[in-house]
Amino acid sequence: MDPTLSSWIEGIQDSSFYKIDFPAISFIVKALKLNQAQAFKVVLDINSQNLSLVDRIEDEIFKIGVVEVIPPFEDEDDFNYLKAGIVSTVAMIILKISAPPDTAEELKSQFDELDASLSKDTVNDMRLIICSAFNYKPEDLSDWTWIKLLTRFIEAQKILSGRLLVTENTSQLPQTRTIVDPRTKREIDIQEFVIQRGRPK
Amino acid sequence: MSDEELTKEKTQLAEVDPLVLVAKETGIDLKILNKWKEEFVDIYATKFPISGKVFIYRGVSREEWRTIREGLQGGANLDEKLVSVCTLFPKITPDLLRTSDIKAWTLETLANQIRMASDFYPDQVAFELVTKL
Repeated sequence: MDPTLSSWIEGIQDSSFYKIDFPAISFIVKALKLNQAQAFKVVLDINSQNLSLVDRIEDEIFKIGVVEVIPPFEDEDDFNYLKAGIVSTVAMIILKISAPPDTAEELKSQFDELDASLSKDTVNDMRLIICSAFNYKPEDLSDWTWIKLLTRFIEAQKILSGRLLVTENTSQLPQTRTIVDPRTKREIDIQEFVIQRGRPK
Repeated sequence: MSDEELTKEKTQLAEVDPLVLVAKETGIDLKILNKWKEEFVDIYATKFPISGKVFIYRGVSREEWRTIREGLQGGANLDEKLVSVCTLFPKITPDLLRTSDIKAWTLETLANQIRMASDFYPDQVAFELVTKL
């Protein structure tokens, strides 16, 4: 697959792509890896008085984080002719979306925003329910087909609501047993269900 | 002036090329203004309300910005350097900066306008440009 296309698809899957629109030019940017973003933040904090180093770091963040320029650069030198603030603004936004916020208030607001957006995402909810029922991690599900996801989701719902018995053999079918209720001292029949958690083949 | 006359004047003003207005206001030849526009694409004029002084300026490119900041020696003023590089009219010289033509806040205000023209935005404004995909 075309590396640009695969990078696009990866970014969309991770929900880590953003579009930044200036009046005459737009940029598609991706979030940096967490440790990379944190390293840039530390270096910027330490060297905030070293203006030319700050500029070089911003240039670097821009070059790593920008996936596409619209309209595209015609020449490699076009970067140098961008308005100065565009690079600084884009680099600042890339860092903001890539690293944890500086204050607890910002963190809470980011958390609430993400929580609200995930709640609207049905496919994500389905993934979480599948992972609750089976021994999968959410990322294991990323290369599944839609039909497989839907099938496992239906199975997961049955398991979690106690409607499905996943048994290996007949000895694990529900057994009826009589016990004595310790409070009333009366005999009562109970049914034991065996639910095995594991990855369906 | 009646509403009708006011509307007529506004329409006439809107039809006038802003470069023509700036040429009238500053006495700069229209050919020079057009040459600047051709060279820098976006040029801006600002009129300070009390002094009535008009400045014509442009944004700063990334390459120029790096050069300006690299060249700042200890104690040098970034705003001063930025204004002298990007102001097209009047030519900002160290001598002019020392005259009473340039008030204490003129330089800072002009530098901020140049930053805005160079797409430097405060964080809050910058985030309004972002869409999550």
